[in-house]
Amino acid sequence: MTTRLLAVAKKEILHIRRDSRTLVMVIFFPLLMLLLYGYALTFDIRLVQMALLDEDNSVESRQLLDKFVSSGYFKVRYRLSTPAEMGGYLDRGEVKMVLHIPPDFSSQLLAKRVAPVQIILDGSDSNTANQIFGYIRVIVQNYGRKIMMSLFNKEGLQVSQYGPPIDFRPRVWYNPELKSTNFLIPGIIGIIMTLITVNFVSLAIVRDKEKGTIEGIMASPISKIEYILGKVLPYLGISFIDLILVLIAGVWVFKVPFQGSLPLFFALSFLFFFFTVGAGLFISTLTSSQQIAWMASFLGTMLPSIILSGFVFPIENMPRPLQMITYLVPARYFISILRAIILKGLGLSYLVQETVILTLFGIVMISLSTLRFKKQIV
Amino acid sequence: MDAIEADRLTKKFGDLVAVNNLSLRIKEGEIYGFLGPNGAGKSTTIRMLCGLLRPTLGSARVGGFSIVEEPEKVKQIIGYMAQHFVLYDDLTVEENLRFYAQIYIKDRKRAVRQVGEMIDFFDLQPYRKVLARNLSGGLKQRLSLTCAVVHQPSILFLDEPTAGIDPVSRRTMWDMLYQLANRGITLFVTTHYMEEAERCHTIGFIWQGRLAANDTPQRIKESLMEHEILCLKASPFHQAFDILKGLPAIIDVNIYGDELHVVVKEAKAALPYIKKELRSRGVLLEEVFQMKPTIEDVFVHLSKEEGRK
Amino acid sequence: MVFLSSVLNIVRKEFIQLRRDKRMLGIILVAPLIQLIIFGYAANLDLKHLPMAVCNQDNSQLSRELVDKFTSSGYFDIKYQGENLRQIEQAVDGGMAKVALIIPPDFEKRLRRGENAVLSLILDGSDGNVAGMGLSYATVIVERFSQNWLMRRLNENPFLIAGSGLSHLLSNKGQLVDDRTRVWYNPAMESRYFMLPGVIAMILLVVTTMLTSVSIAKEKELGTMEQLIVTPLRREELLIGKLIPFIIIGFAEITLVILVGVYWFNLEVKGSTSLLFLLSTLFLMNTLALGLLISVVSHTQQQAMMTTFFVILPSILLSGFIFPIENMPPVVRYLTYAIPFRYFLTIVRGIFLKGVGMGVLWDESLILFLFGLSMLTVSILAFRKHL
Repeated sequence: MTTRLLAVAKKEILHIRRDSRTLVMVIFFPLLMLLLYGYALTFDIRLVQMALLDEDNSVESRQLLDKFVSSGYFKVRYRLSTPAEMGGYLDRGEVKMVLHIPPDFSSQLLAKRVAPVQIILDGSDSNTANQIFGYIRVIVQNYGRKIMMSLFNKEGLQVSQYGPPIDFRPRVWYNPELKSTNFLIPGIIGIIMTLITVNFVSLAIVRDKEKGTIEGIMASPISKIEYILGKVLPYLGISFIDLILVLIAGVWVFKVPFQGSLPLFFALSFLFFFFTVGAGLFISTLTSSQQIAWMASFLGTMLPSIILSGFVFPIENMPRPLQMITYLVPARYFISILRAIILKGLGLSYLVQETVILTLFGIVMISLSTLRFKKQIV
Repeated sequence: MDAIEADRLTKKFGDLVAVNNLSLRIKEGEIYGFLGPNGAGKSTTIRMLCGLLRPTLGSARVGGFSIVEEPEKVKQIIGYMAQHFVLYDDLTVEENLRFYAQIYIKDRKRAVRQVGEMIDFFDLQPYRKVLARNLSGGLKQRLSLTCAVVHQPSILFLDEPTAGIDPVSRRTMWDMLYQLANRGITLFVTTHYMEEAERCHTIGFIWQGRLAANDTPQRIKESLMEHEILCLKASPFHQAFDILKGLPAIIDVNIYGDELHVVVKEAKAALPYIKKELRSRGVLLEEVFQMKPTIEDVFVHLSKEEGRK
Repeated sequence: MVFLSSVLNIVRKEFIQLRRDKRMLGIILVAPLIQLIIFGYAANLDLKHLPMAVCNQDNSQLSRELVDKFTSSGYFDIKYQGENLRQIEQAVDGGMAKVALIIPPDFEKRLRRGENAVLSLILDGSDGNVAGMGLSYATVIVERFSQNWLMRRLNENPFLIAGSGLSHLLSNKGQLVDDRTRVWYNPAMESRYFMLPGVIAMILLVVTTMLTSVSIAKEKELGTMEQLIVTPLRREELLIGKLIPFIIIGFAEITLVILVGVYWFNLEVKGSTSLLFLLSTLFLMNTLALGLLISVVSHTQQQAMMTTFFVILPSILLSGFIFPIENMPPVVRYLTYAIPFRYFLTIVRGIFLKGVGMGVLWDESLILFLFGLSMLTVSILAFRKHL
């Protein structure tokens, strides 16, 4: 049995080697993703470009501006001279916000009257806008309080009583720098694994169907098990290589702290492969066209793995019906398992539920595809 | 003007030399047969002549145009039938023909008329609306041939046009090829069926990339064979074969179905010697006579000679 | 014109083949819709109802008011009430809560005495977005509460500021500087208005590129390319002929996808709808040309498909679709200028959200046009008519 299996596997490996471009892409893609997520992709605001319309031009208005700039988050890109100009810059997306200080700002302040300040915020990207909103709020309120305290001081009043009453101490666990990498590595692993095993496995078999070579194989003494295993094993091997590469890169280059147990990690990854390989096999029984197999695996597994697994978009935010659907996405369980192991160092006891569900998914998928495969002559 | 002139055509794939310094000239209206075992370089040669492959060294002129400098001009005047089925299997016979006709013939009406004529000429009427993938092997070949000539090229390249089809269909195919040749079309045909070579005006024999012979079938048989051939039937068959193979006076023995073709220097002298040897070992000689060497005999012999070189 | 009839010959063949491939047609029409609906609902970056754990060791009225402010903001949902730090830690560890609020026992007492009260917040950093945004929201809530408390104290003890001339401030929630922030384009600050146009654009990108990327590679792999290149068919005739059917199909998809966006998701097109169609078609030609280029340089279908995937995914990530380009390091930001999708995103968001027109979008349109043209040209030049 082994020799025939190895023969199929060898042929598949030959085919993989001939298509070196794909092989290189597959190996380097997860590393590219890591790079991107590690250095480029983040929700954390770097710098907000703003336009300034200072109609007051006083010491106070410059102080306020200074508070914005010295926070490190804001940069004045344009200085406007009339309110009419504000709209254009926002429309063209050249600035994300406009700070408009009216002419009576300082006079109001010094007269101890409420001094309004107008801010226009580009709310298109609500995520960013919300964060900017938060910063603005804090900066302006701090400034207002500072002015108020100096006014109190002048009156000789007890200042300390009017400091910020609440000493707010937020702490971030697991991820002190709030870098997205750590969070996303498990997701990246999940996606790459899905991609390689589902797509490549289904294509490997469908390719034979499309070219007609499968007839020769089915006519030979090779059993279906030997054929399937021979086709699958090389890709499992590549998946594991990728898995290891990602781990190494993540831990060494990006200093992702790998808290949990390595054997457990590999064991549960293997469990996930069980499912994805089954899915790949299942898809291969659906069509003889590579193009269709590709689209089916992309739409049926890749896309849900990316969108519905909690990888990028939090599941809690989705409408209920969609949340229900996510329970059917195995990647969801895999990713939470990975996160728990890598980031939180949790053990199997915390992960029983997910493990069981993954196993069930795997069994169902493999059984389904085996049944279909057996029934098909070609 | 020669229809096809090849001048030291060479093709290397990395270290492998598929075609080695091949030169030949084919006259207009000729049926040229290109023979050789599988892997000898037949398809590579034909693809170079069609402008499908760029030669590593050397060049050729097809229909007066250089395959190296003006391959697109070559493609205008030739027809090509590939070794495998390379037409669209999700298109019908008629749709395939129309598609290819309209690539060559810009006038729509003329193209349609031409397709109609070709369908009649090649007896494809009953299969007009059949999807190519549903055709039998022989019909697929016929369709490929029709597509190759739908635009009435003056030079036709056919890569193993009869491969894998039954003898009756093969005969039909050759009848069609003769009809084309009668219209003055130059045919360059590759094949590994030796008996088809007899039907060509000139044949070339390619062995491991080199042209080992290039002449009319008659002259090849005459000049290349210094030996004579005895056709023999005996039993037990394999014992006879083994015995004869071992005899020093015998140059070569080959099995042809239930016949043994024995290559000897001189048939008259060899005959009694063979009879004696077989009888003394208890082999019954059923039939023996001298035969004219077939092309196949010649080429088998040639292959062994070349192999020995 | 000879060129035209030759191209049409190819177009006709492609359409015949497409018509016969029912499964493919089904996928082409249905896939974008499914993707749009799933993605449309899933692509939501708003953080509402963050599960929160509370350890209120004070249990005073003030502390309960504070907790109330968190829940009534809509951003936080109390999922767990703990009595000590350990329980809270377990809740966050176990994933029950992403945020934990810890109020010390002397919270109200200290505030009433005019002293500082400590307030602790723990955020689950394993989800980068949650922590960043959660922190933002929490800070604003605490800030407001702080300010309000200050004003209440001053109200209750008017003598503290008597004669300071500041009492009128009490009626204005004590804010001396009043930041009146107006939010343009997306006043509700809901991410769906931002994401949806992007989702529509992304689906167009993905599906249309996939259509053409396989086409040439498939002919190569099946062998039909051999018969094609032995004919006098010219490169540009073949490639443009392959492109046209997909422009037509792509346009149908654009229509479908925009219709779903507008009528199903109630997305408003603030700008000109016809401009949207026009520029989407321009982008379409871009993606098809890209697919064609990938197809020309690939030897097998699998290679074409994988190349497409590996080109599209980073493009999507770096285009500003989810992650803002402004947040990227300078080097990467310069790289993004080479991504056509980036410009289309600007166009789509501009038309849907901002209501801007050609006056603002002319440069993006021009760049898209040039990109598409160059990719098509490169495809034609890269395509070799021999094996």
